[in-house]
Formats: sequence, structure tokens, C-alpha cells
Amino acid sequence: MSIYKRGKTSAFSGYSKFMLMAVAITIAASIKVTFMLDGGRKLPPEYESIDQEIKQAGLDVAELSALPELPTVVTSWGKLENSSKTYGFQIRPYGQTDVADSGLYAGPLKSWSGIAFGPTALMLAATKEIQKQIPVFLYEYRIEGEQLFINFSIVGT
Amino acid sequence: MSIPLGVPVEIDGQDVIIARDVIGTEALGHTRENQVFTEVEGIGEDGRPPIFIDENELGRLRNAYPGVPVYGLWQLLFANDKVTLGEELIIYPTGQNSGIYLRLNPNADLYSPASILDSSEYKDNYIADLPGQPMDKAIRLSVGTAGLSLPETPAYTRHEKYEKDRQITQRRWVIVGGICVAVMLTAAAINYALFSIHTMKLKAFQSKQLELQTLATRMAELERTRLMVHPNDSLVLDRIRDLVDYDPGLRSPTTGDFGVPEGLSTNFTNELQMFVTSPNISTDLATVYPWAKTAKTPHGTYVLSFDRYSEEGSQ
Repeated sequence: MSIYKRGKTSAFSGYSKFMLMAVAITIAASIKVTFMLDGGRKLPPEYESIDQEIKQAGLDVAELSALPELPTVVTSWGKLENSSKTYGFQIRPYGQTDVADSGLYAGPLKSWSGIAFGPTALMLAATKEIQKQIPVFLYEYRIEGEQLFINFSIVGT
Repeated sequence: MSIPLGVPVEIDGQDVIIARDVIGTEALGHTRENQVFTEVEGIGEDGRPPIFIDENELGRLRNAYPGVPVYGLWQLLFANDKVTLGEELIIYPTGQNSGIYLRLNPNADLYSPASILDSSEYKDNYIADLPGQPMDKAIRLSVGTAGLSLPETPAYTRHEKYEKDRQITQRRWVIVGGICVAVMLTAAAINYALFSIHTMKLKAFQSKQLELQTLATRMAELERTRLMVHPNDSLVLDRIRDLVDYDPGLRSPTTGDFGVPEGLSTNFTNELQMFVTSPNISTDLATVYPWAKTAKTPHGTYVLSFDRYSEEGSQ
């Protein structure tokens, strides 16, 4: 005589360890794969700031295009020559080779460079006035024997 | 009135067979050799012992009446609450002088199903297992087929149970497989959505980069003809003029001058503007111009400097 006894079953206990493990492994693997793939979905570091950059660039472009174009260097040089005669100081243009690496203007605008010199007080007054009229950048200067020497670059189109 | 055993009867509108069954594991003790018992119902919630059925009998009924579900008699009676407790002996007559009985523990609560010891059968109004047991005090049950409802599950042979379990297991695996597939599909859908969002953001970023590049190109074009801020060195020019007004002999420092750093160049673009005063100047210019800093030298001159960006004391 033998007894066959059927084990008690309920909704969840009927599922074997393997079944529950299969579900758990699938869930864990899905999460891992999702995280792994998500690691490859990085946005460039500039992503957050690009809108601000565009906004700023737009403002700069708008501001700059609202400004008038600069006069030609030829015109400005002519004005400077006239002023030097009026005030009584000397100007000497630099050659193309003198300008390279000399600390004079190096930018997108066209430029003509030179040296201006004359009595210190006169040069100081004249330079201030000329800078109001023509776009001229001032660089290295020396005061020596009551004379002022200034390296300059006139910029324009 | 009794229920015919071992033949099809209609109960609850269904053709079924009611077979003899036994209650309690003790009942298995007085069974014949080669009998195999299968559990029909486990221990009841009220403590009633499990109910078993003879598998050989079940097999015979299966062969005789294929497809007709088989239920145990005690199973049916308990399921329909037709067993009245309260005495040591409960009798269900199946014939004139024969029947089956339930035996309860006389030392326990005779009204509790948990007190049932076992079940067996009697013949000729005599219980072979309990010689001398008076039957006149026993409760006699009288139950017909009318109005009965069927228990939850019929009896199954071991093979049937195995098949059923196998099917249940198989079904569970199918469910598990379904869940796994659903999880994977969900993960795939989430990943696809994340991928799409990322691609969208990247495309938007690329078009913004292009926009920025266009603006930069436009800016570069404008910078070839326009100047955002015009050069203006008036502050430095004014200050030098102030100094020269006081000291017409003011000069730029040269290499080797006392108190002047080596290699110093004077440039309008420099932050620090440096000069050397005339020797034996009567006034320390720092006392005249708050923006000027001076340092006296043994030659009687001052080394004078100011910061071109410092607005302090500017006029």
C-alpha cells in the first residue's frame, strides 16, 4: 500500500524557484541593459549652454551690425597726415614686415601702422583728439628728451 | 434514502459517479494489500482529516465510464454540510444492513470535525473493526441526490494528477515566459523611446550648433568692417599730461634705471604705466595725484607708476 499525497498549492507557491529566478534575471538584465545603453546616450557638455551662447551671439551680431562700417584706412591715414601737419608732429609708416610680431594691431580689420613723435605735451593733446576722430590703436611708447614716440595702428576697411 | 455508489448519478445537473472514500490517515491502516490511496481533499479548514480514494476503484470507474467525473461520498457529504456530528459513531447506510460509518474520538469534542478518527464500512449491522460497539446510539445520515451541489474538484488518479500538474507547470512556464517577454518588450520600448529622445535632442543640438556657427561667421564678417568698441586711451593720455604739467622732464624708464624691473616696456596696452621723474623734483607727485604711486631713488628721482584700469582719483 502506498499513499500519493498531493502537495498544497496556492497562487504563488506553485511557481518554482527557477520560474521566479527567470523573471528576476530578465528584469535585472533589462535594467542593466537599459542603464548600459543609457550610458552611451550622453549629450555634449555644451548642450545646456548652447541656447545662451546663441542668444549672446545674436545680440552681438545685432549690436555690431547696427554700428556703421569703419572708414577706409586710406581715408583715416589721410586725416592723420592732415592732423600731424596741423599739430606739428611727425608720422612714419611701418613696412609690412615691421608689423609682424611687433605687438601692433593683428586682427580681422585692415590696418596701417606707423610711429608718431613730437613734443610730449603737444603729442598728448593731439593723440587724444585724433583718437576721437579716427579708429587708431596705441601701442608701445617712450618719453625721451621731452619728446613722445608712439607706435600706432590705424584700422579700417 | 441513499446515493447510489459506483454508477452515474445526476447531481447539480451533471452526470457524476460517487465512489466510496475514506477519511483520515488511520483509515488507510485497515485497507487491503495492493490498494493505493490518493488524496481527494486535504485537511479541512475546520480540522477535518484528509479524504482519500482507492485508486484501483477510481481506475475501474474510469474504464467503465470514461469522461464521467468521480467524487468521494464523504467528500460530497462534507462539501454539502450533510454530516451531523455529536456522537462517537456517524452512520450512513448504503443498504438494509450495511453502510459506512465515521468514528470520532470519544475523549474529544464530538461536535468538532477535527475529532474524526477514521471511516470504514459495516455489514450485517456489525462493525468488524469495532466489535461490541453499540450502533443504536449512532447518528444516522439520510441524504439523497436532490439539492446537492458538487465539491470543488473531483478525484484524480496519480497519473491524472501528474498530467494535471505537468500541464499546470507548463502553463506556469508559459506565463513566466510571457512575463519575461513582456519585461523585455517593455525594456525595448523604453530604450527605443530614450533613444528617440536622445536622437531628437542631438539633432536639435546639431541644428543649434549650425545656427551658432552661422552667427559666428556673420560675426567674423562684421568684425572685418566694424569695431564694437573704438580705441580710447584718453584716461592714460590725461594722466601722463597731468604728470608732464608738473614735471616737464618726466621720461620713460630705461634698462638699468634704479628701481625699474628689467625688460620693462611702456605700452598703452599695459596695465602698469611707469615713468621716471626729473632728478631733485621738489614735490612727490603721489601727494598731488592720488592714483600715482612713487618710490624715491638715490639719484633724487622718483619711479612713478599708475594702473591704467584704476579709476581711483581720476579726474
